[in-house]
Amino acid sequence: MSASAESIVRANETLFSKERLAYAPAMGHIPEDSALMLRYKDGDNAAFETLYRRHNDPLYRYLLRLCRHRDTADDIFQDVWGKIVKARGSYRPTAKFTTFLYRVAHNCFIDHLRKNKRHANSTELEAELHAHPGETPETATERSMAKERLAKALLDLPDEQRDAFLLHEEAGLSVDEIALVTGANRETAKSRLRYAVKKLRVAIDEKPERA
Amino acid sequence: MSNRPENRVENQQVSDVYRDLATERAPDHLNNRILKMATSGRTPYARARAWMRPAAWAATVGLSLAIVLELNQVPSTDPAYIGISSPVEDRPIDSGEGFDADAVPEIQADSSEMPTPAAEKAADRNIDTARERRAPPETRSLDPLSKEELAPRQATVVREADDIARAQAGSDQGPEPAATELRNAPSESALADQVPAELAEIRRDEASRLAAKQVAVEARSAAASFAAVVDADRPVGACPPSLRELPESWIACIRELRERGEDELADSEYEEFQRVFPDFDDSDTDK
Repeated sequence: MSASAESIVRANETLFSKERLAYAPAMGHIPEDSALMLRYKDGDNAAFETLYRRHNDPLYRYLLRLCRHRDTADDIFQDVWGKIVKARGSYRPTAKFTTFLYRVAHNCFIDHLRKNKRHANSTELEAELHAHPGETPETATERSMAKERLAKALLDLPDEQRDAFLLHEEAGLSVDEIALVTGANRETAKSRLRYAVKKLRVAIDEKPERA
Repeated sequence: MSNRPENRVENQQVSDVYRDLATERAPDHLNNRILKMATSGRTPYARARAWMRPAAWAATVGLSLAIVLELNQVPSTDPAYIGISSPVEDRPIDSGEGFDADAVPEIQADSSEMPTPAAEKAADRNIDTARERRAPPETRSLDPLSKEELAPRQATVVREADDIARAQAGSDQGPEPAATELRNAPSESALADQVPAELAEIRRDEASRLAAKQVAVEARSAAASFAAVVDADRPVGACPPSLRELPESWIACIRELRERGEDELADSEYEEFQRVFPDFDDSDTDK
């Protein structure tokens, strides 16, 4: 069993042993995000705010680097949360809330691509990759150069590989969950993620490709 | 991703660099907008969608009502759409030779139905045909001699032939018809056959006359209904359909119209009367 799955099972066991949750389904346990969503479904707006604060920044970064355009990312970001709010009445914790959230985000991005064939490359993201203030000149140079190479390599990745990498990094999804979100099979998701990491690694290290 | 230790380290390195790179945060204006939306429960397009469902329902109900009303519309009163009655052959009276079934469109047995103009013309035509056949032989200009006229002549020939034969034979024996005289005369069996044929002919003529009268009656009743429903131009003083049922009452109505000074009306009524009752002897009435 993977580390993430083990942690989830342990957390759920703890929760389950402490008290009987009002929102526990028949299968035995509910992740915390789903519990917050169910409370929001019952009218608890504070639960939604907690849920939102937990996931808004990673989701925004995911969309920002996926779309490579800030305005587009803003629009899709708003659409995604709008759909989450609208779906609260019919929400059921059949999967992790993170998987549900990023699946909605992925689909919104696909819909946007279909409506707007032109996918403009933005220089806005590149402008943010300059050296961060407060760093020493030596570390800043190498670090910033690595980040610049990574950012550029990330922008140059094919959409599917970039999507897989961002889901893994921002959402913390496993290969199976990435496959579920993107609608691909497990092996395809795995190969996309592998190729993405490989290319980024090469870009960072500027080393020759290992066999 | 590969599970080899060196790959895991390199993959972790990529993750670490990415963690340093990805420091962006969601803008505050987006956060506020989304939280406000979540609190109100209305999505960005909810205001537009709020009226869409009622509008869709209204459109559906309106369209359904329009379709129902369209289907339940009163049928057209155009005479051209009047239905067809039972075939002429099903009528109780034998139509006979004088009844031109092909020319007469079938008229509804229900008197409430309105006749077509073609039906009225055909009924008039049949009435004219029946009247012509009833006319005296002198008026038939080019008609060949009918069998009624021929039969007595043939009987005379037979009697003459008998007398001749008796005279020649000189005996009281029964007359032996002369072969030559009788060669051209019809035989007794032919005469015997001729009488039922004549009777059948008479019957056919009578049947055609009655059929024509039936048609006329039906046309009259249909015309009366038609007049009651459609004919808004009929003057107030004209004879009502109830008086037109019998010739005597109709003539009386026409007389009354003349006494009132409505000669035009009386003339048109009388024309129609003559069409419907051609055989009525109105010589003693003041038309």
